Amino acid sequence: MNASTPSELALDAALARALRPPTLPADFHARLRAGIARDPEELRREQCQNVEGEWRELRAELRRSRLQMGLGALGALTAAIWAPASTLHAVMPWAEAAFGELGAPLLAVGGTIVGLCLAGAAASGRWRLVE
Amino acid sequence: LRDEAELTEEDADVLALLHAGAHAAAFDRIATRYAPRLLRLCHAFVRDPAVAEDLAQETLVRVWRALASFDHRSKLSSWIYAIARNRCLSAISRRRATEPLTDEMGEAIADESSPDPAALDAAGRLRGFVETLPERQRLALTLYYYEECSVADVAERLAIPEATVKTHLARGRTALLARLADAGLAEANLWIDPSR
Repeated sequence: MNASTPSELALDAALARALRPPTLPADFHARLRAGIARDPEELRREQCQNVEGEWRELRAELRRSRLQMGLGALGALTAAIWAPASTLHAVMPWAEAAFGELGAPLLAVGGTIVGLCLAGAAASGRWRLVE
Repeated sequence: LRDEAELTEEDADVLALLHAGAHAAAFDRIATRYAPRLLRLCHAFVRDPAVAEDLAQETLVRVWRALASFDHRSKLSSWIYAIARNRCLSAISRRRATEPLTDEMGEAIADESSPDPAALDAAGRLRGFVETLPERQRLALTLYYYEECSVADVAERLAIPEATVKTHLARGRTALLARLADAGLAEANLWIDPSR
């Protein structure tokens, strides 16, 4: 690294002091010999156990995610049932007063259109994700 | 700086032993020669001395197990460093996968990477700032000083061209000076500990 300015030279010197390499522990080679002497079959078993452990964790995580998604879907379904019913309950008197006998069918048609629009938007979003 | 010829020549004895089928003797030389370098490389990657030591051990065990199948198509050193890098990257991705960052942890790490200048000595302060550099700059800079300022060695350890190493070093140094200035440590004597 070609330091040119005084601050760069000072930084270079300071980094050389601050970033000291780690030294090899005294027992490094003894441990290495022990590692090499280990039975390959034992090593394979240990690796299998590690992989199985990771797989179990992954499955548990997936199960948790599925449960959360299920709860989310249940919540959305409940909201989807109750929200239109409450809206209808609130709007029906006004619609009947404004449109007479046509009030109820008009609300039903309006609700269907809104529902179809939402479904269309959701489907198009899903397709975009797939693409 | 050592040039390519010297680096190749360095492992000539090991290659001769391998050709002669003396794998155990070849590995002894590899372990003696490469253990400190692998420890430094792994430490630069993972920044944890104990983990780095385990990774250096793992690398050498893998080298031992694969030594008979070494095909001489690449340099011995490049092959060994590639194994080490793969071990380090796997360890880092495993650690990220098993320790998802919660908000509190993220904040804690952010705090760690913005060192309190008053709480550390000059070297510790500087190391803290190095930690805040982008990964490639941090890695190049750390290895550069670990490897006694040899750009060629850093390039070989990371399997990148020397010009790229020089770019990372220059950018890292510029970024460090800027961050030190931002932290009110523009004066060199604030981050150089005269006692060391």
